[in-house]
This record gives sequence, structure tokens and C-alpha cells, in this order.
Amino acid sequence: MDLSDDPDEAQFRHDVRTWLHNSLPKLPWPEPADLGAKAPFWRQWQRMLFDAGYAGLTWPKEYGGQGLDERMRAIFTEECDHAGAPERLNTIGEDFAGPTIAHFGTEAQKARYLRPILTGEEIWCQLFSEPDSGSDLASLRTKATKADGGWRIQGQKIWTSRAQLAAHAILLARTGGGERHKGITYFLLPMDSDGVTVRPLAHMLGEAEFNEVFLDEVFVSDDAVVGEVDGGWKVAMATLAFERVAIATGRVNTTKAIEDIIADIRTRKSADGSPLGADPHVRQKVADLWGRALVHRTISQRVISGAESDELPGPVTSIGKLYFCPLVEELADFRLSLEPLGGQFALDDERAEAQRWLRLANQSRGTAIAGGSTFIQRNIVAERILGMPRS
Amino acid sequence: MQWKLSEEQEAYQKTFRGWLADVAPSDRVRRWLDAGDASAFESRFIADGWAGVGLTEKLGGQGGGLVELALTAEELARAAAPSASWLATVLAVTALAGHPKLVEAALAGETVSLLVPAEAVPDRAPSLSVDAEGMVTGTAARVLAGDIATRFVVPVGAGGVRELRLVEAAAPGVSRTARRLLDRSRSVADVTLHQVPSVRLDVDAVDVLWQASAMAAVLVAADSLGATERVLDLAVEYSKQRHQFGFPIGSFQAVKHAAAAILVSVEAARSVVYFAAASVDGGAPQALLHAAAVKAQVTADGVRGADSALTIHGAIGYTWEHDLHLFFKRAKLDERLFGAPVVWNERIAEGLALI
Repeated sequence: MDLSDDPDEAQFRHDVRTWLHNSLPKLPWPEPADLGAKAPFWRQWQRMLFDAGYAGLTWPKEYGGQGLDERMRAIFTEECDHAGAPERLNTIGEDFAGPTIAHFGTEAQKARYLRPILTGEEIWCQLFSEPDSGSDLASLRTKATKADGGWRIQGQKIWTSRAQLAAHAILLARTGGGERHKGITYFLLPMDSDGVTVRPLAHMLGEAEFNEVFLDEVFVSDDAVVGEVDGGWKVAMATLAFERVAIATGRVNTTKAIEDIIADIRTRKSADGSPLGADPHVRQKVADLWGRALVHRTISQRVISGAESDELPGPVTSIGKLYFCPLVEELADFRLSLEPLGGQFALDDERAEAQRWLRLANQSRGTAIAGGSTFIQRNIVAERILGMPRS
Repeated sequence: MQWKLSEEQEAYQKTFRGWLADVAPSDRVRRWLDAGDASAFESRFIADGWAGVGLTEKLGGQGGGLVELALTAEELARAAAPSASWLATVLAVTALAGHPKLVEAALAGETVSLLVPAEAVPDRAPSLSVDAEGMVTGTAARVLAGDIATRFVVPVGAGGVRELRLVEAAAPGVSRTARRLLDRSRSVADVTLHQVPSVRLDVDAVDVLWQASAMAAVLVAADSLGATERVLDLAVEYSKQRHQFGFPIGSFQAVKHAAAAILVSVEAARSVVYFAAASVDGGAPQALLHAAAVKAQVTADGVRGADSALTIHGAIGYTWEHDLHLFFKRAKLDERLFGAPVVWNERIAEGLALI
């Protein structure tokens, strides 16, 4: 039970910190807020990571990764947050598609797809959810029909983040080998294929971040299948398991968030002119959030220690998201509550610092829904871990 | 960095859990609690060699540290076993460093207890007064194990603790009134000292009380973790057996979600309790804040979990006959014991220097 850095971890942290300190100023700051403008900014950053050997930290070396373990990835993410590195735009590529291809893909797939994820050349999206298949993913109806040398795909996907930027998608479609989970196949789809139409959807802050994707007789060749035909459910579940580990290694650094809030509070005064940090309600709230961020950090370390020792993901991996989502919401909400009118201004009428928290407050609601909403997660935890009977 | 119990720690937890299952099954525990006499359990606990686990060999223990003590606390709570004597002693015994005979006696059943109110954080508790002849006078209400202690470690000094002094509970001038707690697996007593002779303990009083505070926070949180594990086990088991509307109630989503929320609390608590124990042992710069966060978070979640488990049980959980109330009351007391969440959160706020 030791959460301080081992010598190799401390060395790695030092190297990363030094590199970030020297490299971040080379970017054309400020980071654009608009997704379209953000992509080239991010791409420049990702190329710098790749050239410096910081892309794909946990991926195997033969596919351009660094072959390091989850501890190093956690340290790297932590240092990036502390240094204010750009937002990661290709989480689907790096955390979902890449590890899945590395684990289940053919040699040809690995050779074709993995490196461009790490260099930043190709962004990925995930075509899983459909208008009538959200929580009940296995009911999906997008159909892949066998054709000469490949498959023809017909259907509609929705809530697809960054589809407008994506070069490729991981896609689930029904190939008909059986009911529900049994008849699903996992495909890799080039987004520039004929018959793919991307229509942006504005989220509740008014920005087009996710999309509807229409698939009209889209042809993919036989070598686009990952795993077995009709065996895609197993691959999809592995993708989601990779996601959970990625969330644990620091999708949002709650420790950094509460430290930022504390630094801000030290500069503020209450309406009566006394220091805001003297307000008993503020003190209780900050202490509570600090404590919960500490709990979150230890949960993450436990997941990382489990991942590192190749144990099967235990209960703690599944509960990570249930602990983490409400915490991020409350951190952002509390910080916004310090702004005039609780920071409830349109994005273009808000200063950058408040904008950051407003985005986080809203993104965290999205995170609680994406990849299995809170209620579905609770069902899963109750049935699979506690063994409670299915409804 | 590695979040992992050592092989020895895992083996200890397993062995001690097995011992408790054998020695302290629920029906026997209830007999001890009903009789208000835990001595049969306590003497067996000592005779079988558990009392020195988690205390350094230098002090006279069997080695290990706060992680081992936290494992002990968690397992005792899981069994609803009497633990006032054990907890009071592990918190006070470091004050006896340099007195090997007294340590030996404490670990052999002569309970030693800090003379502070059980709801106070030990290093902020009021101190008693001592005169030039070493006679101690004053009162501490609700002292943990105050009814059964053989000796008291008494913080004394005007305007804050200056030193710790040792008092024999049987000495003339000591009067104590046992108070009955709802949770009968722990006990307290109001203790008044009037001109009681004492011996000065040659330790750094501030350091010992700081250590006792951090340990109390972690160990009571570990106790709450153990109690919450059991209310969850009981609720899940019951939800599979109890049928309504033709189905086991555990198939209803409202019940599943309540149980899942308790599981989140349990796994969160497990993650942070052992971390904080190691942090205090290792003397990490933020060790007291880690302990504070654990006490505030885990014991508050424990109470919520106990409440929710009661709702899952329905009326049967509200009865004296069912075991649920043993753990419900244990969680309730843990929330208040050695500082409520609001007190420990204020301690965090102090440490974070918000002003």
C-alpha cells in the first residue's frame, strides 16, 4: 500500500514535466474553443507527443506505442492536466479503437490503423448507439448484408461524438447469426465511404459535438471485420472495458479541479468583504469535495494496480464511473456557484475561466449518460457483482 | 505506486475473519451484548494473540501498523463484536512507550483509555488540571471504555495540553458512571477525577495526541466500512429471498439501485481507508488530512448505507430480532465517534489554508 512514486515513476514524472514545460509554449495558443478550429491545433500537439515518444504509452512497442504500464499513463495524464495541456480529441481512437484493434485485430488491421492514431493523422468515432438502441445496445438494428467480397451496411447511428472529424469508425451491425447479442459483428468503417452521411446535432450548450450518422448501402470489405462474424458483442464488451480503465487513469483529474477551486477561493471575498474562505458553508463544501477527490484518486490507483497486475477488472472498476460522475458535476457546479448568477451565461458572453467550468458541468452530465447511463450502470453492478435477480 | 494489501495482510484478514466466524457468531455476540459483558470475548481475543497485531515490536506489539489495525477494526465491525476495549487501548497505548510492563498489561487485558470525550477529536479535547504534587482534577464525559478501563491516559495543562499523565482507575478520587449506548458493542462512561495521584508520561503529548487523532479517524472509518459491508450483505441476501408481487424484491430496479449505491460506498471506502492508514503510518505530509477525509466521507456514507439497507428490508429490519440493527447502530455511532464529519471537514478546511 504505497501511493508515492517509485524511483522509475519519479524519473518518468520528472522527464514528462520537463518536456511539457519546454514543449507547450511551442503551440499556437490560445486553444480554440470551436471543434473545427481545435482539430489542427490538437493535431500539432499529438504529433509533438508522438515524436517525443509520449503517444500510445500503454500500447505495444511493435505498433508504435511505448509498452509502458497503466501507472505511467496515469502519471502522464496527471502531469498534462497540471501543465494545462490541450484537450484530447481522439479518445475513441486512443482508448477504445486502438486497444481493441491491438487485442483482437488481424496483423493487417494493426499495421494499417494503429500508427495513424498515435501520430494524430486519423481521428476515430464510435458507431454503436442507435435511435432505438441506447441502454439496450444489443437491440441494435443496423444491418450488414453479405455481398461479394464484403458487406453492405444499412442503418442509422446517433450520439456519435466527433464523427465530423473522424477518418474511421468502430461500428456494430447485425449480421443475423442469432438473436440479440449473438448476431452482431464488429466492423472498422472508413468514414469517407460512399453512403455515409454525417449530420451534426447541437448539444445543450448549443455546440455541434455529436452527430447523427446515416449509413445507406455502405460497402465495407471482408477485412474490415474485427474478431468473428456474429462474434462482435464480445469485442464490444472489451472495448467498453478498455474505456473504464481509461476513465480511471484520469479522464478528468478531480484532484486538479479541487486545487484550482481552492486557489480561486483564496482570492475571493464574501459580500461583506470578509475572505470567502472564512465562510463556514464554503469551508464545509470545499472540504467535502477535497475528500471525495481523494477517494476518487484512490479508486483510480486501485484500478491501475489491478490493471497492472493483470487481474480481471474487479468490482472497483465498475463502480468507478458511478463514484466519479456525480463528483465532477458537483465540482463544476460549486465552482460555477461562485460566479455572478451561478455562471449561467451563454458561452459567447462568458469569460474563458467560467466557460471552462460551464463546459465541464455540462460535459459531466454527458459522461454520466455515455457508455451506459447511471441507472444502467447500477443495474449492471447489482446483477453482475451483487448477483441480484434480473428484472 | 501500488494500491495493494501485502500477502501477509491478506492472510491476516482471512485468518482473523475465520477466527471471528468461529468464536463470535451472531447468536453468541448477541448474548454478550444482551448481558452487557464483553469480557468472555475480550479474554479470548487476547488469549488467541490478536491484541498485539498492528503495534510495533519496539512498543511491545507483534509488528505491523495502521493497515493491520484497520483490518482488525473492519473485521470486528463485520462481526458486530465488542471493540471498545481494543480500540481505546490501541489509541492510548503509544503514550505508554518506555513503560514495557504497562504496555504488556494493556495488551493482556488491562484496558487503557485516553481520558477524552468519545465525540471529540482527541487532540482538541479539553484537558484536565494538575497541581504541583501531580494530583489530577477534572471531568471527561463519555470516555470510550471508561467503564472498563484499568488506567487512563489524561491530557493535562492549562490553556492546552502540556503533558500526558497516567492515572489508575482504582485510585481514590476516581468516580465513573457508565452510560448505556444504543450500540452495545461499544461502551462509554463519564469519568470524574478529584485530586487523583498521577505519573507523568515521558512522551511528546502533542505528538501522541496527534497520532491518536489520526488513528481514531482511520480506525473508526474502517469500523464503518465493516458495518456497511454487512448491511449490504444482509440487504442483498434478503432481497433475493423476499418475494412480493410474485417476484424477488431484488429484481426491482428501485431495490437494485439502492443496493448498487451502497456497493459504491463500500468500494470507495475500501479504496481510501487502507490508503489513509498507510499514509498516517508513513508520516505523509498530508496524513492528517487523509485521515480526516476518510473519517468524514466513509462514516457519512456508512450511515446512508445503513438507512438504505433498512428500507430494503422493510419491517423485518426494524425488529430487535433481526441482526440489521446491530450494524445500523454501529454505523450511527461511528459517524459521531471521535469527531463528526462536520468537525473533520473543518479540520480539512484548516489544513487547506482557504484564507
